[in-house]
Parts: sequence; C-alpha cells; structure tokens
Amino acid sequence: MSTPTTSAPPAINPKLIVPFINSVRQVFATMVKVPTTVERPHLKTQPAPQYDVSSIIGFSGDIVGSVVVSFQTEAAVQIVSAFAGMPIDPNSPDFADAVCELANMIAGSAKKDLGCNASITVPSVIIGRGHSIARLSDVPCLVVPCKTPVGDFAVEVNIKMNKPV
Amino acid sequence: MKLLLVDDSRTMRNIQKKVLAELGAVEFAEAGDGVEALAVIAANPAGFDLILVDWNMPNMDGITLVGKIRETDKKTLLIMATTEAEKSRVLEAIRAGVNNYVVKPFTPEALMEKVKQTLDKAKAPAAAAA
Amino acid sequence: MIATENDIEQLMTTVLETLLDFHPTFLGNKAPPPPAGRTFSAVIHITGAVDGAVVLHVTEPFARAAAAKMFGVHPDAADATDQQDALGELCNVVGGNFKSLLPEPCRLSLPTVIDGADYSFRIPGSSMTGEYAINAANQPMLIRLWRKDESHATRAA
Repeated sequence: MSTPTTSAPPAINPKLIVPFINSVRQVFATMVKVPTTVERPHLKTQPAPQYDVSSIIGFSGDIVGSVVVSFQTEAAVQIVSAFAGMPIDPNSPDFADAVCELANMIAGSAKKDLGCNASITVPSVIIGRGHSIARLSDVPCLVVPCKTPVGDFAVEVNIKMNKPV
Repeated sequence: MKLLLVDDSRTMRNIQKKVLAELGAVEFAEAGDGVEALAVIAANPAGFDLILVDWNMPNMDGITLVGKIRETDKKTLLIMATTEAEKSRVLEAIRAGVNNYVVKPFTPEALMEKVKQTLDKAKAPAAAAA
Repeated sequence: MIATENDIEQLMTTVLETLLDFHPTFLGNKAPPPPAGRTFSAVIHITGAVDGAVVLHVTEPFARAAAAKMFGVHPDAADATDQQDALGELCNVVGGNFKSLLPEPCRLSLPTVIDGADYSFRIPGSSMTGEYAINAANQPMLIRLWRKDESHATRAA
C-alpha cells in the first residue's frame, strides 16, 4: 500500500450532514428538553478531541459509515439525566443504555431524512476518560459541536454514499 | 387501566411511564423484548388496555411481536413507538396490525396524544352501539 | 455457530500474512489480561442476516508495526493517523472476510477505531459470541465477535 500523501481535503456532501444537524435539534428539543445550540460543523483534524463517553452507530447499505455521539462525563451525566427525567449514576447500566438510546434516536431520525435504503446498527458504547474515535481518513469526518447549558457534546459524522445521491 | 411497555431501553420505558402516568390510574407492566412481552401477556390473562411496542429489539423485534399477538388477539390496542419513520415501515406496521404509530423522538405531548387518540377511537364504536 | 475457532485462525492468518506480512500464533480463547497503556479497538459493524460486530483489540506497538508495514514508514515515524488508518483497513479486511462466513445477505459499515488508555467497550443488547487471543508482531491481539441477542433468554424489566 502506498504512503499517504498530503492532498486537498475530500469534498463534503451537505445532503449527508444536514439531516444529522436537524436530528440533533429535534431529539434535544423533544426528548431531552435541554436548549441546544448546534454550532458550525468542521472537518475533524488532528490532534483528535478526547471524550469520556461515546456511542457509535454504524450505517450500511446505500450509505456507509458511522455517527458517534461523544461527551465528557459531567455533560453526559447531566444530559442523560435530563433525558431520563431523573438522576442517572454514570456507573449504572441505565447510563450506557440512555447514551445508546440518544445516539439511536439521532441516527434513526437522520436516516429517515437521508432518504436512502440504509440500515443502522445497534449502538456500541465506550466509557473511559480521554479516548478518541478515528475512522479511515479517506472519508471526511465532520464534527458537529453542540452546546447546552448543562454541558457540551459532539456528534461526529463519517458517512459516504455507496450509490449516487 | 393496564399498559404494557415493550422496549429494550429501560430509559425509554421510564420516560413512557412518566408521561403516561398522567392518564390517571394506570398500572404498568414492562418487557425488554418481544419474547419477554409474550411471557408477560401470557401471565396476565385479564389482558392489557394498550401495548406500546418498539420496533428494533433483540430476541424478537416489534413487528414480529405484533404479528404474534394478532394471531390470536385482534382486540388489544397496539401502538408502535419507533425511530423507523419511513412510509414503507409505517405501512408494514399497519398491515401487521398496529392501531397507531408514533415516531421517536416524540414530545411527551405527542405520545400522550397518540395514546389518547387510540383509546378514544376504540371506545367510539362501543359508544355508538350503546 | 457461525464460525469455528479454525475458521477464525485461518481468516486471521490469511489477512495478517497477506496484508502485513505478520505470522500470528494462536493462544486459544484464553484472553490475556488487558495491556496497560494506550490501546486501540477497531470496530466494524455487520447488519442483515446477522447483526453484530467484529472488534480487534491491539496495543500501540502493534498499531505502529501495522502502520509501518502498510505505509512503508519506520514504526517510530507512524503518526496517529497512520496507526488509525492501518487498524481501520485491517479491521475492514477482517470484517469483509468474516462476512463471507455469514449467511446472506449481510452488509458492513465502515470501521471506527477507538484510541485510549483505559476504556470499556460493549454493545448493549448483544453478546460476545467469540473471543480469540493471538500473538502477532510480538504483541497480543484480541479478536472479539459480537452478535445481537437472538436467544430466548428473558431479561428483567
């Protein structure tokens, strides 16, 4: 395999990103009920941001890739507690369950608006201080930073079309 | 009123309970998947007024559960509550036998509205016959 | 059972030898204790007739060695992107080969690579159906297969 060379960043298809931005807004407005500001997405660069809690959902079919919802611990605790409507201990199984459910709804709601024949996978959950999530660098990864009064989080979208849009 | 909540996410079931407790005197049963739901149904011969079913669950998914329930029970009210929002999925659920469909994410008000709508619609033919 | 231990051994030998010129030895299902320090987990999800994931857990020296082989650089010169790309590609190829053992139709997502020092990885609603420990490039490597629960086990509400 050849050594990677520096080249222009790959083009980003806005049709693949807007559904996730809308989905985050909708999920947080309807089910988390925490005012959420979705900031301007940007290409993920090195050094990669580090998180404490992440949930990964894969896409396969006409679209392939993944979406990852990531938090620092305190923000995760506040946000999932707001979502669940009661305090959630980060050491309890309910915590991972709630994080996965949030990611599932963000991905599921976006999938509907992507309008393609694609499947989403079951969510995986990673818990551990200071981890980062990487993908193959030939598919652009967009970071969608989100701010709430109870903490910030990020939605990383790394998907591409298997078929033309 | 007796409701059965079927969802593999305990968080989601807790949210649904919180919202639907506003209906008044409600008794809740829960199941984490379709297999467990069938066991809970079998253990409750008096039946449920309404069953809220998630689509994507391990062991037995919601659409299969709806089909199994409808093999012998055409009366119990079934609402599918799911992220699967494509028209084809909604039609599939209706053909399987659900009475209503609510898409996640939903506001508490939207869930309550769908449940009330479903309950009221079921009462209407009985009221008309009376 | 979808894949036997022999299937996994053959698959990993083929992939590691052809892609990286590594010659793995197999340690059975006895997972060694998790290594200290920075580790990587490369994950690829599967949907369709089988819903699950293939996860490769490796050490940083393995990631460097893999990047060195794949991209023709010195291990010390392999940066974070190289290591993550190498592991992602490895996971992609392992996933593709594993998919060929599965009933059709199955589809793969793209790989993701987790990079950290002390983290847990799991898939709620799924169970680990296989765990295989190998040694490659003088480093431990763990391959874990996950599958969405399809047994008739009951769970507490």
